[in-house]
Amino acid sequence: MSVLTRPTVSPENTIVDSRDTLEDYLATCAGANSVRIDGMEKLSGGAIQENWLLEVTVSGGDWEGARRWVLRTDSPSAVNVSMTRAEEFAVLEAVFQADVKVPRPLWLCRDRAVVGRDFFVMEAIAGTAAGHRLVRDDVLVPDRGRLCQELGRNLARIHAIKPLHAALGFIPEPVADPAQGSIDQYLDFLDALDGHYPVIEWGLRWLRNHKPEPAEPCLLHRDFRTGNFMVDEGRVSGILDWEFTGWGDWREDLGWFTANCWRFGCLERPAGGVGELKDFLAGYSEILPCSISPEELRYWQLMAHVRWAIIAVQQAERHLSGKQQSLELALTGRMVPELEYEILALTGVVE
Amino acid sequence: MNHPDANELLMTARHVLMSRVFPAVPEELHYEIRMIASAMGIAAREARKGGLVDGMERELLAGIVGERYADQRLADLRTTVAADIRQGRFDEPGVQRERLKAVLLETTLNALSVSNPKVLRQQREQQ
Repeated sequence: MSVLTRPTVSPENTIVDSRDTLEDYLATCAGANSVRIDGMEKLSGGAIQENWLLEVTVSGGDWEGARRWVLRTDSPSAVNVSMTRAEEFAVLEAVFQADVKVPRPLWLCRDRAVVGRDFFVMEAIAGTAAGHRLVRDDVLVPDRGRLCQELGRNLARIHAIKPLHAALGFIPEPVADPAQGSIDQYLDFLDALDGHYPVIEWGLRWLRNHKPEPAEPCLLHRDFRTGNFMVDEGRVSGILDWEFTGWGDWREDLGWFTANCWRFGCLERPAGGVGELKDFLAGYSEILPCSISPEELRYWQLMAHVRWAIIAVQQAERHLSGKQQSLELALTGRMVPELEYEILALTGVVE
Repeated sequence: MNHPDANELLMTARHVLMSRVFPAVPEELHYEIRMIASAMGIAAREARKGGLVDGMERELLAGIVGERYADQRLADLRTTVAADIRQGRFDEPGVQRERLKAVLLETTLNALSVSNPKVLRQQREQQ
């Protein structure tokens, strides 16, 4: 490689190149004499958002000492972002205050002079979120019952937040019938796709014809599943990925969490492949009363598979359109038959 | 006729990838190698029987849309069946609905035999 040609500054470098302004910004926020960034590392995952681990030394003020913080910002290539960083920061603050286990949100920066994009800073959390490991490795999860109860308590604390919440005014108001709202939205998504999908249509028709009575709306995570929470020493260390948060029917989150497609191959454990549903519901009930029949759960698991099937087709189309060439997105498109099979199983087509 | 054919070439290449290359690459690339092997496996099975699977789906869908649409191409038949389902043409219990269910199941199982035969085997063992 030639040392004479200077590579054009890739957008990826803007965070690294902003070290000085970032140090000044962090010192001001932390009320410190100075903040020194000893290490910056881009964390894996996240095509839409970037997460940078910052290892810092704080001199003076309440944060004195060595700290590990995470800077979260939009990836430069991000399109169709569902939530701005400022909105996500507000969600994180609201759920943190509601005792949901999340990375503690610290500061939101909308001054583009600092790193060129909006970002926020949160405390780093330890552990792993890798679903395929969490469902199989008993060293990571020595007490599955305890982990499931903890997850149940966390989801209930999210659901205990009711509309309208002063800090969450940017979230669209709840609809009277969330199941119908989702069905209508998914039909619109289907119509925007290139092809047509009789099995997904069948699933949506079944959902339309078997709608339950709506429950009182509450805050939903809408991507609460194995892979989106961190586990450290067998305990939940943080719930991640809040960009789909909205108002809705609490059973939707439960269907998503327990759907076969999010059990990472460990189908015998309904609670996200990591444990038993009774433990999860026991934890949930400590915070909020809950009762859900097998039929209701099946309904919302079907909703989950329909949603995931449509997202899978969308991701494949995203790859095919050339917007984001990715083998992972392409292969996600070939998961559709698997999800369609689940749709048929949940609607009683598979004997 | 090409010999070895596309299926044989891809499956042989996939075998070399997993048995020789996979153990030699750093761990951070294992996920990528697995994805490549998975894509090659799907492409190999599609090369072998993709035409047959599509032909069967066309026949099956044509059998439930009525004579008016029976000559449509596969993509158009999917459109017709999807629209019929949405309009409630199969809502009533009866022969039509049972035929649709059988067709949807068979086309899905055929698609799984290309995209993910492992899931197909697991599902069959569970039954």
